[in-house]
Amino acid sequence: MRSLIYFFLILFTFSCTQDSSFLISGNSSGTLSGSYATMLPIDGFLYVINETDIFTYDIADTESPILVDEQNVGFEIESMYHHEGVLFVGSSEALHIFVIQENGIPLRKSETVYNFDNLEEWGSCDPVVADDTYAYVTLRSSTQEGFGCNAVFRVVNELRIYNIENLQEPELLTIRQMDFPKGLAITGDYLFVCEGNLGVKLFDVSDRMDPIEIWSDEGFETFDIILKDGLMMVVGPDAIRQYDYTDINNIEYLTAIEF
Amino acid sequence: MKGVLYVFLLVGVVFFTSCEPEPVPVIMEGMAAIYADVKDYSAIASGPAREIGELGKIVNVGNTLYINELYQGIHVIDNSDPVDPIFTHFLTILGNTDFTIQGTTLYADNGVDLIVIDISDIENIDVVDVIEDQYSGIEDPFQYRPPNYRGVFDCVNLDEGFVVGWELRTLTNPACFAN
Repeated sequence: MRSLIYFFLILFTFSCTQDSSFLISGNSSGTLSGSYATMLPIDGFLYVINETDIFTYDIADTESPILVDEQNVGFEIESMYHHEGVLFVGSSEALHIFVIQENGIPLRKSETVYNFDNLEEWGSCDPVVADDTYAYVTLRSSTQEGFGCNAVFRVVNELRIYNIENLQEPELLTIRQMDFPKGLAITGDYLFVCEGNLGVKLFDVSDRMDPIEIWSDEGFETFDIILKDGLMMVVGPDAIRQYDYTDINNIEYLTAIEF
Repeated sequence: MKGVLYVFLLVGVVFFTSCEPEPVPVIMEGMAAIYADVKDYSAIASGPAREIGELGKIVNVGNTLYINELYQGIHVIDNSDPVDPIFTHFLTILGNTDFTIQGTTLYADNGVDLIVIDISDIENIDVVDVIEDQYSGIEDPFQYRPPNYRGVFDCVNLDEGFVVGWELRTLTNPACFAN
């Protein structure tokens, strides 16, 4: 009997350890994805987005996915992020939030339209990451108002932070102008953002109303990022760069993976 | 659009100023699509590590990094020592831009389908299931025009296959223009 208790204790401890490390990544299967992911395996289900819909596959047998649900999300669906049973789906026009029900099927909680002063938006790439309380979105797009000679073009490059304590009504806290924001990753009060051809930046977001840039590494192109227990992997079109961020005040460059 | 018009005009000028009864073809340098039959699942295979092209999405499982090379497949990297990562394999999956991994199962797209691949033996990967037409494929601008390019190109004919790349070629009567 006692050994059985020990067994469960160990099992419990193990699962806790796993959970805490996954807090960093926002995934729960040992698979860490960048913020542009469009497929996520979560607790026996595989979630796949295409341009408009989210599909739920039962992958209890990983080699034989069974479609259990398909639902429309919106237009230009681009990325998906998971945190503690909540799915965040980024599209060019809105942040869509779903809660994963016990049967694995996502239930829509909200759709927060980005609303660029009623300007038409196009050509964007807008990933999202989140923790228990906040969602972080980068918006990068061109907008056009009017047509022909009267057209006014505007380029949007923003980091937005939303309070998501109420998943049904995310509240916009702040908009910070960026240069060329792409993929991002959050760990505690620290937010890493890929800045296109300006490399990667780190923000102290302990004050969510006022993110402060505290570190950057520039001079190369980046678009996405994965954090794994103190190891940061930054992807650009021609290389993967790795850093040790165990000491957030002393981030150490490790290597650039090039063939 | 204006560019396309110019090309037609150019063809027209050559045609009407020619003394030949047959139109003289316009021959010029431009981009042309590289097509592949992505539905040929037998082409999905593991091979030796190779030079990287344009990289895409990334997934980390344990000490292994998987990174997509746009429309070509997935590089496998042993990252046990992050100071000295080693490319170990390249998984050829033409049309691939998205993927994830659960255990030893790889889920990857080929631009059209969702393909389920057993990677328990990374040297001999095996397609075990295909969910056909998961993606429409038509939303991807790459299928219509060369990216980051300005100039003439051969208009895409999707009947020839899925576009997995673009290359500079000598074109005859190119009718499309990117600006």
